[in-house]
Amino acid sequence: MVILTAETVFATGFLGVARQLVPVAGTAAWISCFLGAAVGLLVAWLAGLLAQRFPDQNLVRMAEGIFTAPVGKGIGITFTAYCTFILAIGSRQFVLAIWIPFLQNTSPVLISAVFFLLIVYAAYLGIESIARVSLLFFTVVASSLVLLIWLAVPVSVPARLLPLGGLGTVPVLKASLLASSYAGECIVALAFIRHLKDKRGAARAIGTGAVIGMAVMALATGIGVMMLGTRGISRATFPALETARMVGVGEFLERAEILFLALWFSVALLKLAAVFYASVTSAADVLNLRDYRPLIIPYAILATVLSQIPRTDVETFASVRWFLTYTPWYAAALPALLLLGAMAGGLRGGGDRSGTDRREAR
Amino acid sequence: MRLLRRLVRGEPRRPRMILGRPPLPLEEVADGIGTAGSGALPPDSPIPDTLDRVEQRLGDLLGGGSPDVILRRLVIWTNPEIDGLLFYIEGLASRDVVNLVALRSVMLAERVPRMDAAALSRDNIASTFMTHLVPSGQISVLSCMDRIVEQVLTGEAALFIEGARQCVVFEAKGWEHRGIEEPHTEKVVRGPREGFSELLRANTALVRRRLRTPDLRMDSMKVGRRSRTDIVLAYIDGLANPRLVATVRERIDHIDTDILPDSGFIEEFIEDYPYSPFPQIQYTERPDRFCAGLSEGLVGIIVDGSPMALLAPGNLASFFQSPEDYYERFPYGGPLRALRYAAGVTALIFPALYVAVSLFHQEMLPTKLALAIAGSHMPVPFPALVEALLMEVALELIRESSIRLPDPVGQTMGFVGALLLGDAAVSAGLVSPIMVIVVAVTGLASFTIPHYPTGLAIRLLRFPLLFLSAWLGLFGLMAGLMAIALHLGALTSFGVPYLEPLMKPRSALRDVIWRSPVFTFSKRPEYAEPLDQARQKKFIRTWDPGVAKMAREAGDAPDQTGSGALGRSEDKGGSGDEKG
Amino acid sequence: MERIDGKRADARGRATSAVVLLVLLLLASVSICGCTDAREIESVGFILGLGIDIADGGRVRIWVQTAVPSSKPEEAERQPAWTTSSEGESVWDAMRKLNSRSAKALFRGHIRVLVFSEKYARGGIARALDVLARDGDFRYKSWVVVTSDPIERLFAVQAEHETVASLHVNDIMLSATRSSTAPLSRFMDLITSLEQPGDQPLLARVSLVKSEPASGESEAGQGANAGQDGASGQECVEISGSAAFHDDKMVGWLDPEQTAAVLMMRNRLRDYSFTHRMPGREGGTVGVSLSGVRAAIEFPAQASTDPDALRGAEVRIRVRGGVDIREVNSGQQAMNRQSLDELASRLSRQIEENLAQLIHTAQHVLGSDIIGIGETVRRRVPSRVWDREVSPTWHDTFKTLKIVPDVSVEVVKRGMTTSSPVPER
Repeated sequence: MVILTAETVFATGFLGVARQLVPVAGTAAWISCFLGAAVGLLVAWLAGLLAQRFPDQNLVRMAEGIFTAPVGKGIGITFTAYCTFILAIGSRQFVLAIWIPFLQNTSPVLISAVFFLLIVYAAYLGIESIARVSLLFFTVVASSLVLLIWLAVPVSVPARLLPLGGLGTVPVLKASLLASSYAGECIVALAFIRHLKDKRGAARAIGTGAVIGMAVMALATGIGVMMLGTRGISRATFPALETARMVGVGEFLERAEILFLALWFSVALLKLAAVFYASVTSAADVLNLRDYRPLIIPYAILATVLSQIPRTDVETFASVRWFLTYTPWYAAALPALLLLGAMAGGLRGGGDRSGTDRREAR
Repeated sequence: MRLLRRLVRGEPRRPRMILGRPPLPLEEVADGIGTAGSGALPPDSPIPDTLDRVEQRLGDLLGGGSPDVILRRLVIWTNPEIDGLLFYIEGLASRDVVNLVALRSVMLAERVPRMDAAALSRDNIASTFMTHLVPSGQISVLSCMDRIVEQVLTGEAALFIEGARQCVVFEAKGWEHRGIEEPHTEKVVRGPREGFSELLRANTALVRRRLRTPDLRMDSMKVGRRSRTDIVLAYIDGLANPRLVATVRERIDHIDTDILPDSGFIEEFIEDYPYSPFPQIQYTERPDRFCAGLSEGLVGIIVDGSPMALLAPGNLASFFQSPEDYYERFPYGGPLRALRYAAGVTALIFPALYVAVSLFHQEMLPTKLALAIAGSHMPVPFPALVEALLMEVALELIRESSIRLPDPVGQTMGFVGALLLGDAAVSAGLVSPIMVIVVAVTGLASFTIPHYPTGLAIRLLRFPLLFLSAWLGLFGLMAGLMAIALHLGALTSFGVPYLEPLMKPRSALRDVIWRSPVFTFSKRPEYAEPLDQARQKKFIRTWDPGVAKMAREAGDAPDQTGSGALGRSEDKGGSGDEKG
Repeated sequence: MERIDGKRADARGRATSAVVLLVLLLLASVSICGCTDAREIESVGFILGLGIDIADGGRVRIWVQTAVPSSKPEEAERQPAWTTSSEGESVWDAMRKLNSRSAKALFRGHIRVLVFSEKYARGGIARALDVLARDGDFRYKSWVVVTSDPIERLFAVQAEHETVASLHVNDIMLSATRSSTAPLSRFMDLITSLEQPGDQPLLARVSLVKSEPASGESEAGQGANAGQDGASGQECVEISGSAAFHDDKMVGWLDPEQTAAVLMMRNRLRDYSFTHRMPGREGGTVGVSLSGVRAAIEFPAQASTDPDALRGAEVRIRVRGGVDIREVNSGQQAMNRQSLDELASRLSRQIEENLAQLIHTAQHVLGSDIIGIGETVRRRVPSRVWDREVSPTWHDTFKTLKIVPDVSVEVVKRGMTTSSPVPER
């Protein structure tokens, strides 16, 4: 769960995070990432409270229980929409990262199709499979990042991170708002809490995941600045990729960025599969379906089409920016709203379920 | 679309006609062969009254003309004269035993004192014989013909007595069989050299000898309508999870088939995902490995006639382990095992990686190497993919041919093939030398996988990966790998996730990817969910003052099976993945 | 243990997962006909060196050295190369024209050396860098060098062990940067320093020299810098200092000593050796190599708060390091502590003079902050202040600075003998 959340947070975002944050915060962009993690922690805390109250329920069922069925369904729809947005943008960004530098003559639609084919397969196999493979690949990717750092040492100039303050306090805070959007993506985990064995550990698991994810983001930003300087990194289309392009093992393995990207591709895929799963299960709950599987293929087609809407890379990055600006509020508001509703319900005396829960907790 | 839906939902496909021929009508089948064997003998049919009719009945049942069916009339009692009929299958029953038991002792029966011939009656004559006269350890008195025939067909001998309602059936198994030899498929440098053979009893004996606990259970089952193959379900009571045992038994119970030539059939009948390329049940030829598996709470299946015993559940990690990892000292076990995992990955992706890099990502190579590859590829008329396919297929051909051929020829074959591939193909300009190296390394790597079917799975999956990487480069390769990884993530073996041991980072490092010293294995692996977790004391080397101190600090009394301190640390380690 | 039962319930539903897997793989492999990005490795024209020169009418002439791989292993050692050139409006345009002329797909992923002619470099190199930075194939670790010699002659040089000039230059640069006779002038260093006004680019200078006649067997051991060209050629390649840039325009040459001085102040000197002439009647020389040199740039305290105080401020460059005596050809053997200290202070003075001379050149001749003082300032002052107030006028501010080198080295080791083996007097 920790790993899955962490991957949800960083897997697609860290390719371009530096380009988003560095122009705003300057050399202190990596600090913004950690500040942004605060939103992740907030969401985790709220999610943990929710999980304790409704140990065996999905997001939509929770919402339906707290408010009325139509309102709950409405919340479910917004959640699905949020996930769909992540899905479309995340996959699009990654497809661009493959298309622009490497497979220049292959149709991006084809790359998207391969992407979604795998996502469909993963969603069909279920969240357990995704979680297991996530753990496996996270170790691989984590070691690849360690390797990247190790290789980056000879070519990076740590002093480029100075001055620590960056462009000043206000810009750093502004950037951390943007960063918190990435951290906020951990609300996707709300859809899997049901599968967690230890409900009381939910807050800790999501929180740790968010912090790990944001730490990876901070790392990507920090190293990027160390190697390319603030101007260089702001100009790069895919800063993380640019960073990987500059490192190498002596004269032997120089252009390893493709290897790194291939590894990152795996986590991005797992993240998107998890988001896809969250989205499809919520949609199934909204539609009162018992099994989510019939929805997979129609939904995948929808998501593939949506991901093609930003036709150019300019449009894609614009929509990423839009997403970063507006979604942290949603991420924080959703669990808060649910929790408030639940508490209000509990005060009114209808909260017998939460009562038993509290007894159990003791 | 319907096919797709069916694929997604997993509905069984409707039965189809094969090659347009309508299925045979049932009556026809029944008239032909269907009922001849088993249908002739209703269950619980009594023994006919006279020996003549017994003889006639047996003749009908077994076809009369079979030369190996021996029906011998003899006089077993002289005062009053009682006739007997000895019934056994030559070759299955040992001639020595039959001679000793039936002929000699029976013919000497009269000399037994206090044997009151008058007291013998139709009902007790057989049991008297059993208790007094036939010197055999495994002996019983049976009264229904079908059971008798069944027993005789497993190698026992039956003695019918004129007028008796029952028949004495005694153990006389003594067929020719292979002795206990060194296992052929799992060789070790250090470790026991015994291997299972085709003989069920010998195999169970090998297991018993190694596990002398009274808790060792060997439940006998029979599978195969015609073959009536004996199967032994082996597990340790109080250790193996009863649900696991029940699941295995239930699945075996469901098997309704004709014959069972090898344990491989059982495997396909009972595994969770028969369509997966990956094996889900371990098999072994080694009693030591089998017993080690049982002691970890696995359930073993030994099939008569097969030297390969099954162990369930299996998981990916178990297929990369060799018993020698444990027999040799631990400093070598760990690196060797890690090497094997690396070899597994190499065997899977190396040709695909080469194709991807040489077709798509030339910038990845060092300049000199890129030029060398380009140069060596100049005279080759085929694209890299075709070249790789050619070589891979050739490698598989060599491998397959050298397995099928008799040993000495097989080795020659290997040499010829290597020569053919390595030298001739290069000098003829059909393949580039670098491709030969790639394929050779892949071949070597795939030989290091101890479990043969896993190697087969890897060999099989290498080809789609090759295509994928020729299509989309490294991304194709990665997509293929992800598909395989997701598939592995969803696989289960008897409900136990296939990747389970790799999911717990701490224990994975201790005994899955690496191997720690034997004295640290205080707990059993968890994946089979054994009832008893503690394998040995946490601190064993307490003769070492340092260790003794640690043991005292951990509050581990000398005779306590250390679960206190360890349990806590395990919980901490396990919280990394809550998904079950 | 509910797992076993629970899983079994939907095991049936998942039984086909393997089939789906196979279908996936099959589907993907069927679409193999669409492999548009695959290029067979033998049909790739690996560009090893790219030379950029200026042509008439502001047009660009490029020189491309392509490898011609050979299939015979014994010839692989002497891979021949093929150099061609074309002209166009821009680098991209010229390259495009070349592509239509070449039988092989020209591939920029293996460009090891990017050579600018002096004329082009003086006109500004930024317009050549864009196409390369935009290109996903181009190697950030390629060397970028400047030459005053004709590029076609440079690319025609054949060395003893390396017949391809580009690879030869690559090897020379590798060893030269190790011995600090050339600046670290990789493409990535260039583009990062190009963007920092306080950290001006310095690129290695490559020049052709007449190779001395091969008179003896000891010829090959000439040194890492000089490439030998065997029997046929008359010219060989040498790294001879560096080219200093102001923004993207080259402003002047630096000789190897000046280059070493710059590297010393930028903390990039790994290993640098020189000879010191001893004073006095006896004279003679001492050969030393510097090791572990650290430089620190110090500002007056108020400069970090008040950017205006920077103008005309005194900047001290403090250099500390160790000296390793390699050769003594002098009567003064520097046996005792006192004479060693004396030697060390003389060496320090010599280095100081070198630095001062370079600083003067940088400030008043080149007018470019190749020493990287601006970068040090950037680290001290808040980014906002740097961006708005300091950075736009940095070039002028730099010229007003009073830069004072302060060198102090000490003799760390003297080798395996403490004094020269000389006949007793």
